[in-house]
Amino acid sequence: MKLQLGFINIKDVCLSDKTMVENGILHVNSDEVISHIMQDEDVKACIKEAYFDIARPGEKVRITPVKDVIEPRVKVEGSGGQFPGVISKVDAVGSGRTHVLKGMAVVTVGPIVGFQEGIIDMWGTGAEYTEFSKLINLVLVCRPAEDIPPHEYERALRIAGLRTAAFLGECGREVQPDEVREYETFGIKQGMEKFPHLPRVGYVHMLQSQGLLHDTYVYGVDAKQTLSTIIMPTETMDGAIISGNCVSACDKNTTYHHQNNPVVAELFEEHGKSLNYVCNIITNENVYLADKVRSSDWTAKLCRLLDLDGVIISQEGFGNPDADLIMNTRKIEQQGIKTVIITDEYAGNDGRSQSLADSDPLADAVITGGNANQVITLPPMERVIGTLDYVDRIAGGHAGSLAEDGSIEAEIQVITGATNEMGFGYLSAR
Amino acid sequence: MVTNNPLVKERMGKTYPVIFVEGGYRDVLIKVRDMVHLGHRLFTHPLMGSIKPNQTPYRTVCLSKNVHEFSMEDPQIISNSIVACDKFVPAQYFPQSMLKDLQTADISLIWGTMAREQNRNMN
Repeated sequence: MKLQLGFINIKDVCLSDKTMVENGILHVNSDEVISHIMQDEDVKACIKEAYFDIARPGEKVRITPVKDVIEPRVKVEGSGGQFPGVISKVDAVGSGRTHVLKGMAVVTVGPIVGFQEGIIDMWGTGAEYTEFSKLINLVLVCRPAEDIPPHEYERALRIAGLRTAAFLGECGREVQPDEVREYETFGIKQGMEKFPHLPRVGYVHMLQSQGLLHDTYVYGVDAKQTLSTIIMPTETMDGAIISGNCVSACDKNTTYHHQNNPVVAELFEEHGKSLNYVCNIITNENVYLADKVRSSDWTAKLCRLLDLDGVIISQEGFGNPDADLIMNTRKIEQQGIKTVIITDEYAGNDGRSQSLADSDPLADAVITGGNANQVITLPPMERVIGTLDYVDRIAGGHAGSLAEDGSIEAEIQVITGATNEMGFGYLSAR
Repeated sequence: MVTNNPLVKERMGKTYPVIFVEGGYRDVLIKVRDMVHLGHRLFTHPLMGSIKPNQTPYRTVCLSKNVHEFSMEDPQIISNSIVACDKFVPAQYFPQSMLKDLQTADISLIWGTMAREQNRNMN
């Protein structure tokens, strides 16, 4: 399976009377895009008001509460469309050519259950903790209609963001990309023949799937309803996996993370040089312990069946998913396959407590995304997109964390993407 | 079901045996630990939901009705969960207006799980 990504560098985004990309500038006709979003009846029923705002790196702007971050793209060759099974009809993606509006993102903002969503600061201390502070963010703020249950509003906001990204992505269809990269994986036999001396490496990609407001969708299927299965890396790069997760801002994998998964990128970088990148295995993180046993058994069986020599495992979230992470690791290691896990830590404010809620001697190669309990102070901003009403209640904020001058003292878990467990972050021991 | 969520008691109390704990998140975990030590099996993870222990006052955990042969796995899970719970700054305040949302978030995780066929066949 071969996928070409054509990157169109976006230098600025502005609100305009037309929606188009011209000379690297994305023009957005707000009325046109909002009207497109509202063509979805469910979205229309759940959202009272929607508008766009723009936040650029270096501006004294705070965006909160952030639900999802999405990169606009368009499928220009090959089967499938954007976000198959959700926005476009179900059809396999991951081959052909896709154009990417690079350097910007659609950020959805709205209060889901009055807690849990994150903060993106475009300037100051907080901006050092997340990649999203370095993007030009087109922020879609949606206010819920009266008496809408949280899960229906969550869905509306999710669909509104995806529809916006798909609509804007279309602007890149006819644009000549600034750079084109190619990614290819092979069938089992073909890969072995092509790289007979390279270790066979797979990526076990754990998807958040605990239930209401903690969901991930694969080709539109709720991940908690599936058994572990195989997916080609280029499919994940091409919009097959989207986020419906509203909890734990610092280590939630937004749709942008799935589209730009750094584990996939790095494995492709080494593919054919130091390793043979075989495939991804997706598995879930359900709350029922029997589900955990079933899914981790299945993952280990697939790793064995594929004759993998090494596996990288990434998780999403805190606490309950630690149990899945350790079960997967133990069972894969017991098949004689080496593992490296990527997680983050909740090691207390001083970093001295046990980092994970579960552990095993076989999990002896661990990469950390950082300590989510680390306390920092975010300086006041000149402008807030969204609302600060929920800051006290976002994960990691606590009573009194919002000071009168607008500064916020909180754990870094309030920052969207700060301790991302795919390694999509800046924290380092180097 | 061991819970301190009044909504779980109200909505699920007729279908499932519910032990209602008058107390906080941690008190529920302690009650669960005691039952696990008596041989009840954990069905759901005590930290389900990735909502941190200091972000919600509510917690519900499902255990087996019957007592089984003692294993080390479940006591380890519940002990690690209590250790994890104690790492968070506990001084969280929850405005009255949010309590209903938090009760709903808690019950929804259990509700969805128990509705699934494969999870009904255990005691």
